[in-house]
Amino acid sequence: MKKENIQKILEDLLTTGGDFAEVFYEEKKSKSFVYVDNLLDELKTSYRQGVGLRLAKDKQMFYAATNDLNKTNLTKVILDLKNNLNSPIIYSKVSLNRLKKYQPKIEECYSDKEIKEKLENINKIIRSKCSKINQVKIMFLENWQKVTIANHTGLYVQELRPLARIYIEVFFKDGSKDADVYFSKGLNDAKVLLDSLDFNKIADDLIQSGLAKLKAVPCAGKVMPVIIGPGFGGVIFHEACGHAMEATSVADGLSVLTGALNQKIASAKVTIIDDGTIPGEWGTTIIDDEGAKTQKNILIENGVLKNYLIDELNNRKMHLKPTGSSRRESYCYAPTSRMNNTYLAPGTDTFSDMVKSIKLGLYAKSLGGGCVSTETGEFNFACTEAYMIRDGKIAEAVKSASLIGNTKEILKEVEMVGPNMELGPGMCGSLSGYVPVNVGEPFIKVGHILVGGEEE
Amino acid sequence: MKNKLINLALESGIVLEILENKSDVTELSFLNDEEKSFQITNVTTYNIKAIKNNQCTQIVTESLKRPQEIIAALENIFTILDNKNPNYLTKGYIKGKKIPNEPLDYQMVKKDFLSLNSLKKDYPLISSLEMSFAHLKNTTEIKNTEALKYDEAQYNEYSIAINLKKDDISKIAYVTYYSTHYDFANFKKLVIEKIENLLLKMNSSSCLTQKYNVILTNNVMADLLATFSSMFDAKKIALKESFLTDKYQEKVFSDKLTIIEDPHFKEGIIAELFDDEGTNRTYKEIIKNGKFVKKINNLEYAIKNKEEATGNANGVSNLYVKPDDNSFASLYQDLEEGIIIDEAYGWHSGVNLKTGDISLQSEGLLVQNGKIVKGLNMIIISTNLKELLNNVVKIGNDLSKSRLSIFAPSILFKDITIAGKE
Repeated sequence: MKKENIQKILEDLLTTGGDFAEVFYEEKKSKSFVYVDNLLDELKTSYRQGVGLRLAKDKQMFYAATNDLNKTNLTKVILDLKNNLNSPIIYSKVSLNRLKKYQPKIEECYSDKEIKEKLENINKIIRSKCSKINQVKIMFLENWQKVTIANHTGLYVQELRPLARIYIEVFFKDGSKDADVYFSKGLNDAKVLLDSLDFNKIADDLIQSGLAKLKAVPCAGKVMPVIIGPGFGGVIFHEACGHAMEATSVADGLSVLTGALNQKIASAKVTIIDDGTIPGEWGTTIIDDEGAKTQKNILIENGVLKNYLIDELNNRKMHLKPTGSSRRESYCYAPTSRMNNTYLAPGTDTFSDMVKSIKLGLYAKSLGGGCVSTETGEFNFACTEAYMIRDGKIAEAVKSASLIGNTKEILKEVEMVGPNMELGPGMCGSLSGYVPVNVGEPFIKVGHILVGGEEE
Repeated sequence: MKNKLINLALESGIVLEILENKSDVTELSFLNDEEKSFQITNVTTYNIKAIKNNQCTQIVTESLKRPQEIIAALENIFTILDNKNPNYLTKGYIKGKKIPNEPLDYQMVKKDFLSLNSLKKDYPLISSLEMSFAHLKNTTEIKNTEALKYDEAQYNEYSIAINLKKDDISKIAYVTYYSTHYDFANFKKLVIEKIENLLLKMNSSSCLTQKYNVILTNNVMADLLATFSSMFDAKKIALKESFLTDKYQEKVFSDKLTIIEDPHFKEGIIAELFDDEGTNRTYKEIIKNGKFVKKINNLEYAIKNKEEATGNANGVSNLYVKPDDNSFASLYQDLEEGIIIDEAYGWHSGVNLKTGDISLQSEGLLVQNGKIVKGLNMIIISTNLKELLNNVVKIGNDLSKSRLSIFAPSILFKDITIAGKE
């Protein structure tokens, strides 16, 4: 979209007497490879192009999304938005700054043919190592999203956001028993992603986990101490407190953490950070979806709640400075405060000391997704690979189970935190759609969590 | 623009079919007595199916303005793709019934939704009401050199999150409802029922971990069916990604259970005439008296399996568990001792579609001697789809209204493990 057209749209939106107007223009190209059953089954491309127009007055927000960019349609859409505000017409002049462009440095990626060969090779490596493998599925995704954001203050910025992710799923079968395991990693540089991973080691780890899961027995269903593995295990904090710290729910008094600023809400071992600036990471962007620079935000420090994740409009309700955390899936969504790369800062406790300290408990080596009610603080997440701990030792593998808890209780139950923090990629769904996020943590020991399973 | 693209592709030996989806949505949201947001969305998407030399692929785009780029992208895919999937384009002419635009008075909608705040007088424990209403209109057109098919759908979506607070206890419940015509009265009725139910659970606690007789209410059953609906898909089965792999034509569930897809289901909100490949959607029994009798497919897998195309290129439409004649009261009477599960959370992560394992955060009511004795929360339903659907005792007649095109009645099950804190 041309600068003068954007300016005109902003001026048109402001004639309503609105006090905030924004244009978000997006172009996105995606390419996805699906290698399954020993062949490249799918190679799909998609292209998206559209605009999101946002108008606000006080605490009310009006939003329009369209991919019909012709003048007649845009005029109609703007009129539909304006009809919500019955104020007398006000004329405002908007003068956009010079366009500021941001783009991370990345290497040129392999050709589609070369990517296919790499996926073939990964498939061969995995299948050659174990006869109990029933299926291997490898997905590789490349995105190029270009966003242009302008608002009534003159802000006019653009960012090109490349993103790539590999997802490997291996399914094992042994007689009537079956098990599935997966590996996933996402970065902004597709070539670095493919070059930096040791697929031999990844295959060995997946096979070790898969064979253990084939022998898994039902888990004991009860409250017990749980050690959670590093990386995607950090989803516990994403669900337990991350969503409850987003202004989306805090500003409206709909979070269990509303009004808890500067209060001790967690064990002193807990320091939680949301950092949108970590170079190259899956959840990183240079600017957020309101055009502000992303930041490293310390949310909980040594157990004390220090900040929330705040976007421009919720800043009006909370009177707290925006944190560069405004995100949206696409132009179809109005942005709101969301997480980027959220992790628990490392500590000094060792994994072996954690195991030794437990008479009967669970070692949740890897976790799947989860969800939370920010109002009640009740959350759950799925445990995808787990082992019982008996008398201070890792014992039998147990079947997948959900772990459930409450934000206020679980944060106080973090008893030990290990030294090596890892990040794990995921897609987080909320009010403004699905956005790429990392969750992360080192090994941690939680005193008590309810584990789904059978009567022991 | 579509004809230009189709003709240009033909010059490269590619035959094209263009599926155009237009979506128009108006959405309003409210928090208590405030109008929170108003959103309009009009988006057009083109799904282009292309066939060349016995290979088929698809690309998705929101713009047809650069036809040369689209052709180049397709040519590139054809040189790389391994999957030799013979396919064909749809034929014929269908002009679906044009649904007249229902002029909705959004001022009336606002007034209706804000009027729900008056429930706070009758139910003083209500601490917040988060509400939204959406009016959606979708049109679908499939075009190729030998076909033109058109259909449209229009419906309303109502949802609310009801938060009740008493001292330090906070409870939340959600209601979602769909209607073809504006029907606030029925939505309000469901909201009141949900508040009454939530009041029973204000002083909830957990339970002992053991096997219980359990009623899964219709909304929970609909979520279960929606989560597992892809297990009937021929592609998932062929790629060993379904719980039902190797189980075709076998008895997999209780003989009390029949699962049907009927595009013209009388309880349905929308009736789709054809799928995204133009294949007619038809009535079919998928699970009949516990036996897996029909796989659903797209054209690729219909051809690969030498089976009839079932019209499920984009999943199921109006899928339901066949209800029986039993009222919910009769299920409750037969439960005598056990648990009613009326909410379950984390369906995207707490179930395994390949193994059928289920482990879900749930809440509900504990029933002893035929009476509700307390609310339950912080409990986990721990089972497997095979175990659950083989332990059916009695099926209700109360079809759910919580999903757009998936329906189920409440069902009484025996011997299901519920994990609790006590």
